[in-house]
Amino acid sequence: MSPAEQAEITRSARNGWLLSAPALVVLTLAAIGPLAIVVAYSFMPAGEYGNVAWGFSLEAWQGILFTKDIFDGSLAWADANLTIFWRSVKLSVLTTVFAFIVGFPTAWFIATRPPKARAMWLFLITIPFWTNLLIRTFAITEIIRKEGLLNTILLKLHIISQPFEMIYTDMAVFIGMTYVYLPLMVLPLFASLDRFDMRLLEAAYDLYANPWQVLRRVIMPIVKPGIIAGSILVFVPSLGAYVTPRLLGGGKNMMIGNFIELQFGQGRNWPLGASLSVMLLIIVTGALLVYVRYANRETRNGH
Amino acid sequence: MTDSIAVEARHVVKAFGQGETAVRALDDVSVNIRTGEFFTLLGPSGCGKTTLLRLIAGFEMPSGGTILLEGADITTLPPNKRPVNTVFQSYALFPHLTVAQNVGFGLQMLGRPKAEVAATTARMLALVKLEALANRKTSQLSGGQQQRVALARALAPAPKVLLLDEPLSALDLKLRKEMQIELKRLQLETGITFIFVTHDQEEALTMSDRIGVMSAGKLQQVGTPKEIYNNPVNRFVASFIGESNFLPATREGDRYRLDCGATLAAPAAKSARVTLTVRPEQVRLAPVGEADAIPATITNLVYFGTDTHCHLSLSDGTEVVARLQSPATGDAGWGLGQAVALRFVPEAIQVLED
Repeated sequence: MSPAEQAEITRSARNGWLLSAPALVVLTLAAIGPLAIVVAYSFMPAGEYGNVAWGFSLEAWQGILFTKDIFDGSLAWADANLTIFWRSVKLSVLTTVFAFIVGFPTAWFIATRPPKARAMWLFLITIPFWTNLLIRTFAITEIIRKEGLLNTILLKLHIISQPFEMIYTDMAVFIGMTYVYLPLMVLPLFASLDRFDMRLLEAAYDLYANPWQVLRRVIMPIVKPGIIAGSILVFVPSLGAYVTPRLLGGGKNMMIGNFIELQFGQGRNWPLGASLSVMLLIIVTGALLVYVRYANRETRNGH
Repeated sequence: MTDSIAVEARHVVKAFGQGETAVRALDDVSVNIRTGEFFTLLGPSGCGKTTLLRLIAGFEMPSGGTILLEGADITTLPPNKRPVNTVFQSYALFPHLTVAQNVGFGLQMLGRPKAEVAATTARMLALVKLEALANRKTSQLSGGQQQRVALARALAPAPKVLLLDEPLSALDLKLRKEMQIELKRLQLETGITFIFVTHDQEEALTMSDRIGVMSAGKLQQVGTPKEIYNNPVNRFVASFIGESNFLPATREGDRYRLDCGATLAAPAAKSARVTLTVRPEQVRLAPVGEADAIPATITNLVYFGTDTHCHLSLSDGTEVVARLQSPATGDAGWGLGQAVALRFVPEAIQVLED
């Protein structure tokens, strides 16, 4: 290789780096930078009027699970916090499971349409993304509130005699999150099912599998990557959801996202908010690693 | 081979689409397939042979008629309730399972005990000589190996009938020849009734006990390879199986007069106007002037090694092909444009009344 050629290769390689530089700068400033600040804040004492004081303290991390008695300084379990954590995990898991139960038949339906119709159905699935999440959530409020559409219809039809309380319950949050995150389940499932060789269905039926066995033993193992991707896409934002529990859960039924917001707002405990954020990040990352590894091992073993 | 019937189709009709645009893929097909025989459905693409196979497998429901398996009506039974297995053209192996798991799938779905599944799987893998690859993923196999897995998988549950949908069409020529012999061996060893679909007439002739020739949704002729080849019932069968010469002729007493004026003897027929067919290898050439021979001119000579195809033209323009065995000296002594006398082996002439 001549020196000129070598110089050319070096130059084009450097140009490649230069081209990705803007992205790297943005990522560093917008993602890693703030994250580093959050981690740093979680190890600092709280300031008088919000903000943080300079110094090192583990109080914020302690505050995740324990409350300190203001008189004798003894530690006790922070029951309110634990309730919020449990509710967050419970609702996120329920949302993911329900989104799968509803999303799988939907994705299957779309994947088995003729190609032209498929594009139309996919388009319809993505339509909710065109409207702001806030507006969509308010729309749900209109439907499920005490004097809302659902209660009015049920009362008019004499199916119920008393309007039932749905809004500002865990149920309302669950319904709202399932609605909001359902497309994130349907799209990766569709992508997997679209590549599924439908001739395998005939092979399975031919080999004495009943419809349930075809689903469990052939379809699900093969589209597992789509199931994993969809579950992650629904579970992760559910766990950190803010708008939906805020509007549909009212002030009482908080999830982690609202709790964190509270610390940075009225709570004036920035370090606790920071430690909660980092904890959420760690839990999500950990859950994903376990899930992906477990799923991979299953695939390797066959079924 | 016994004379009991494995599969019987009675007046089966299958139409796709509705009303005016409906296409009859199968038009009143009736056939008996005997227990333990290697039966081939042969025909060009779109003739309905695969549709008939899919009806027997249960993937489609007939628009009319009944299908019986060992005397029992299975017309409306779903595929997973029929003791019939299929080897698919695309193999359709399960990509998430190993070779052994693929082979054991049917038995597992039937709820057989683990030990039996393992034992039968091992036996089937030995039968198709794939023991060494039991734990491979199917994507790591060659086309021929995948073919064997598909066969073992379909044979493992010991079906009453094995359906094979053009299973060899994706293989190259050499492998196809090997698999033809292999399939025949498997059929003899297992004693299972095979229904084999192909468009390859050579495949059908070499492997089958009986052949059903299909065209345009109808069963044209059913018979042994020899019957089909030597006594085709109509022009379609005569031209689809092997090559044939077709000579329009008029009956004159117990002889036939060809359009070129020559007369010859052939089996009796009812109609006055018939078509005589002769296989190219049953055409003999002689020097001009021989008695009871048809005058012709050589228009082309194509050398094939073992034999030479001699294209001839009769005086009325009818084309005749003669397949002449190449003599040891290499040159049969015929030349282009040469006038010769044709002679047909009398027993080889078939009379088609159409």
